[in-house]
Amino acid sequence: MTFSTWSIRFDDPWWLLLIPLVLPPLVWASQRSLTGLGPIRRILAIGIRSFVITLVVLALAEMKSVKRTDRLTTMYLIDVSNSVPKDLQKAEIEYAAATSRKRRKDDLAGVVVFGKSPRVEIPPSPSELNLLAVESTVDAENTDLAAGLKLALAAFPDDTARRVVVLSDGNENRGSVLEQAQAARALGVQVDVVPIDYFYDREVLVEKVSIPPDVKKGETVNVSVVVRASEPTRGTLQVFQKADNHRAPAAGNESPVPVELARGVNVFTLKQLITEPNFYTFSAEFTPAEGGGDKRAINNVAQGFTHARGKAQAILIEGTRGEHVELVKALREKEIEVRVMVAPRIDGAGDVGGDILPNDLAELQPYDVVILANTPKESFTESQHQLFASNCHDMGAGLVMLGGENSFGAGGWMNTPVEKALPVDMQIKAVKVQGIGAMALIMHASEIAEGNYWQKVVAKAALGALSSYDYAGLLHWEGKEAWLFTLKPIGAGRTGMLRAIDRMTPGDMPDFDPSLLMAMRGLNAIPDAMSKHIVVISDGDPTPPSNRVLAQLVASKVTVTAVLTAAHGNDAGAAAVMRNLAIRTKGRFYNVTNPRALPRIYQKEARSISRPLIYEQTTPWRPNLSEPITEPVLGLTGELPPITGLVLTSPKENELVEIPIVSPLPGGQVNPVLAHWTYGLGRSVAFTSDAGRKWAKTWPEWQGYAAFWSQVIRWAMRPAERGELTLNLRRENGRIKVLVDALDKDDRFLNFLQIQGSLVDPDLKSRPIELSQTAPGRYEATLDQAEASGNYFVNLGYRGPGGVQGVVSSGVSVPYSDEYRELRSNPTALENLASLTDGQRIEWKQGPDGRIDLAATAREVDHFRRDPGLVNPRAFTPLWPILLWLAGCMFLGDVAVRRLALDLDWIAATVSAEWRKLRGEPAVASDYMDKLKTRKAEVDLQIDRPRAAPAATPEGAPPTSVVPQELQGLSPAAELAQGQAPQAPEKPTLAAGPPEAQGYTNRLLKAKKRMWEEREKDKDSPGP
Amino acid sequence: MVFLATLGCVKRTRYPAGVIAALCLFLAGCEPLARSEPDLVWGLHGVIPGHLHKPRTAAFDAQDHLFLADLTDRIQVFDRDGGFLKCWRTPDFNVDGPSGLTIDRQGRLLVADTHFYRVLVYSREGDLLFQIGDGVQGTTPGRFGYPTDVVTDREGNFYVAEYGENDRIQVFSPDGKWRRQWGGHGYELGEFLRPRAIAIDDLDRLYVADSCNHRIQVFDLQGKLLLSWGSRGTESGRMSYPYDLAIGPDHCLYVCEYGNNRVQKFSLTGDSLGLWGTAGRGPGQLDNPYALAVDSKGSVSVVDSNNHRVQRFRL
Repeated sequence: MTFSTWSIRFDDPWWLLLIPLVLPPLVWASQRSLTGLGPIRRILAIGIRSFVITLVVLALAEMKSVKRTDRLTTMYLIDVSNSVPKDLQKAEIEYAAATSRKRRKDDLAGVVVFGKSPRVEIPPSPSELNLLAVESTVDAENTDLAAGLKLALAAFPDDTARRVVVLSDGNENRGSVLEQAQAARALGVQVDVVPIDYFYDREVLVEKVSIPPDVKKGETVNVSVVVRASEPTRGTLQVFQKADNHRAPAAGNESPVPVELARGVNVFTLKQLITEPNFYTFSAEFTPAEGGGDKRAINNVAQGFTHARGKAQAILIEGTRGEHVELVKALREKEIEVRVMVAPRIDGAGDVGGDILPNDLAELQPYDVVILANTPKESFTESQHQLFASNCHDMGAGLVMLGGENSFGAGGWMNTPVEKALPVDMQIKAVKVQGIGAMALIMHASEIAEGNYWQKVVAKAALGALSSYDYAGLLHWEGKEAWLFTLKPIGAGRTGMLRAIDRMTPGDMPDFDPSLLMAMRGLNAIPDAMSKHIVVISDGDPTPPSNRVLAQLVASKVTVTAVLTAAHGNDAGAAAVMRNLAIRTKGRFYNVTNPRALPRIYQKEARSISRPLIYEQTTPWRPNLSEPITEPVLGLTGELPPITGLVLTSPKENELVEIPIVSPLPGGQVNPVLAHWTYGLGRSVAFTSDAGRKWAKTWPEWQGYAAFWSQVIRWAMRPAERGELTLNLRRENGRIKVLVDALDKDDRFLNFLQIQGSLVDPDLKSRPIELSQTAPGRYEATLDQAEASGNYFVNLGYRGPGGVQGVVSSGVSVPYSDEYRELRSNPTALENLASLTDGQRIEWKQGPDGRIDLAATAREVDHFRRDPGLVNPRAFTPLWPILLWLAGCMFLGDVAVRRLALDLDWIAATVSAEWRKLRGEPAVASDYMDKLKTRKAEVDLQIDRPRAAPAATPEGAPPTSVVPQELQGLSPAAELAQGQAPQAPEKPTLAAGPPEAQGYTNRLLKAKKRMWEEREKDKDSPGP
Repeated sequence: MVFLATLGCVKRTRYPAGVIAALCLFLAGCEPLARSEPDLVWGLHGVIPGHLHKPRTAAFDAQDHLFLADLTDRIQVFDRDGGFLKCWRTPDFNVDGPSGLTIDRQGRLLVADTHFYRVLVYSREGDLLFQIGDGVQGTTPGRFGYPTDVVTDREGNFYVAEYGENDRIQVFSPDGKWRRQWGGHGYELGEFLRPRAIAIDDLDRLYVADSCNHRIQVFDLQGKLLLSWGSRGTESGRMSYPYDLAIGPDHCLYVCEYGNNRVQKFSLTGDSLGLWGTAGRGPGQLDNPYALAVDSKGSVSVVDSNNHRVQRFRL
């Protein structure tokens, strides 16, 4: 770096005026005040002082060093989305590697790859790109060029010029690259573009399967398949029907049907008889004939769905098969269809046993209410938690949770979307907690794939499942075993703990013993812990725990659950070590083969120590009906049957929450037994005792049992659709258009309706919609950002004049990403990007065979060129900290120059003496020492004389003129040689006055007294 | 200026020379142990050839080519300055790599294939010659728990360290037949907790890094304990999880401390001669180093595992 690239600037140069204003007076004043110093020291002191002031002024003027650089960073932005053919993706990578060789010595090169989201593949580094393949995991189902460019801009170092090279087909289906281009331009970043060119000239796309959204039992519907072909071609088409997780060819379509496709859109229709009420999915698959030229198979499939409505239906999901037989029987008696499913248990391999539970909104469509009957949280995935809440809030279906040992807080449901949907909170606020749990997590899972990610997930899952009274601590390895956070009540600290977990990067733990001991000591230090539990996650290859430590754990009643992550395949030794650890300490052992099971294992473990939320008594007691009597309990007469237990909850503080049944026990708080409210478009109910097996044993015999439960469930159910509105959804260009045609029974337009509701996307995110009227009886709305493939649902409520109201719902399926819809590249978008930012457009050179000639292309391109459009940045470094520090040091120098006198004679003598000593010469006999002693004696005398003088000499005589007789003619050195202190014998003779008279203070006092006496005399005597 | 103040004090009160020396050192900001500038830092994080992903073990051959194994079960060969030469995979792979590499006196590459419970013997060119152990995990003679390192003596016998349910050293003849064993899981002298690395000197004395006991044990070839030193700590002479050791051409023992993030140099009798490295990510800083290797010039290349790189220095 040459000196010419450096300069200095001041942000507040006005402060510099202080230098001419302050320095001359300072020098003048200092010259006067420092006259006592010698000339050299005075000049030095004034110089330092002026320097200090100058430094402070420079700091106030915000002096900065400015470094101008001619280095360049080029970031390659590589499109790896599915729309770019694989062979061209390889060409992109080779192009980047080849052109990066033209970098100058100091230049940096880096790579960002992007699809739906971008990743930094190689951060800017001063080397050529050694890029053989893309290592980052990128979702290739979409193209977000704007996000890629944004990340590339963020990845640049500050102190170099910047250029981006975009390698893409230009087909973006998310974000807007032109907006980011403006940002790049503002930052002075050039964007070179290398358009990837392709054209699928003989591609076939199955665009959609169209079916009426709502059909009746016994109706025949037209299933229309829309196929688009870019050239006339041939192939076969087959339609499949799926219901209840069973997929089979549709009736009349048992074998593939040969079809001829014309250029453009082709529509094929199949008639289907709907015999049973259910939710049906129809999918159509096109298979090209041999030599048809269709390149991409993924866009040859599409699906659509419809719902044939029957009578009201509920789905009941229970933890143990047959646990709710009485309830189901009662509901069926009351004409409610109930589908019973059993939730799986969680184990290391994932879900064990149980039925296949609904995984998306489409599968929940046939049910008007979902009943979660004594099932713990970990039996469901997080997306299922969200699904139940969303199904209620956005789709208007009911949600009912029945109590039991695995329900509400005792089932670990706190902090879930389901808790949010229910009228009660799982955390209890003011009740005596019956013993707390303490859990220490030991983390050692860094070697499994994405180990650090999973460790964070499980730690968070465990914290989420513990109540705020419980203690939690987390131990990890950071060069030694260490607490990430020590054991403490979760309470208000939960957020801090979660933050700490986010920052955690545990290392590879060598041995178990120290961590187990540390955790045990922590747990033993909690005095009131009812259960003390350690959960170790490990691949089992640290040095096994010793018998001594295991015995200590058993003696301290600490249980250890060992979670083995199968990092090293089928490792029997590791499994044995972990199993032994769990068995010896009475914990559980999990051999995890499916990491997705991990969070739920941790939730289960956390739940096992957190049991203060159940209230049970052997003596039954009666819950009470409470005012106001609401619809679910309308008509109940007499007393309610007794219960012996319930899960403690607290009602949400919301006006919509009604608590028609409460329990008097435990006292001191409101204990809801039945609570309900309206949640979004749906309704939800909480019943905190059980349905009749353990705590409400007498309820099934109660004559009001069936009436009570059917009323509760019916209240929660989604209201039946009125059929006055026709809802149509269309998806075009990444948008969903919602169209409603409103006609009454006499086919007259329904005008001035207020229609609003929500759209639920495949990620179960809900967005509100409000429709506006565009014509008589026609209402419309358009929703952006519907690029993701999957099922979209729209659920609308409407209200209008004359008491017209109801709900209507429909869905649309996006079979594949828009990546597969593009038949040709879009170089224009990229050209705009280059021209906006002064970049270049690079054309691929082609060889004689028409294929890309990479070497020829790279030869003529220089992405590290210095052209006039390139902005060389300047790096500013504030200098005020250095200036102030220097000023501080110099200030001390100023003090030192004034206070310390350097005795050069003494230094010279010492150095020469040491030198002689080193050379082995005899030291010059205390010549210097003699002088020193003489001087010391003189000084002592000078000190002593004034002390003694006032008492020994007549008033007014100069004290220094008296030299005691005894000292005259006697050298102090000789005296020292006799071992006598020079002043010692003098004191008694000199101290003629009282001892206190010798003090300096006394002399001052005397002088003062004398002065007062003289003033008094002056006053008394007459004036002249 | 502070120096002047010091002289001023000396003039009046005569501080001893040691105090002056200490003061000067303090004022100059010198910490006697802190020389940590590496001569070379190299390595990029990644799984493609030439890149490193948590490298775990290293060894130099006579030509000063560095053999490195990382978490992806690859053995990669680099020149002394980190220039990539070649790469191959061990026969089976998982998500963990071998934890011991040695170039024996014949120039063969010995690989402790930890998670496949065997020792692999490769030719100089990288051809697999034979393996010791049947690849089945076990505690019986001839089988391994997790083999961690292997060396050969002058007669060509193999000494294999292992941990797991049985922490021991097993001895095999030059043709791979089981001869004897010693050690055991424990804290006592002669026992081991994770013997993570072994080295052999010119006099055929075996140095064992007894990692979780934080000590070095020295044995003769029959397993008789000759010497032991070290305990857990950060002071000079103490150790925290010594994970690798190597004897340099200067006949000193270099120990890589996983827990203390440093390299400590010992005489062969256990006197601490120097420390290098602190925890961190910068040059001269280490993040859980697993291994080291000493080249013919006496420079140490330490495998800075969690920083996915190698640092070379002299101590």
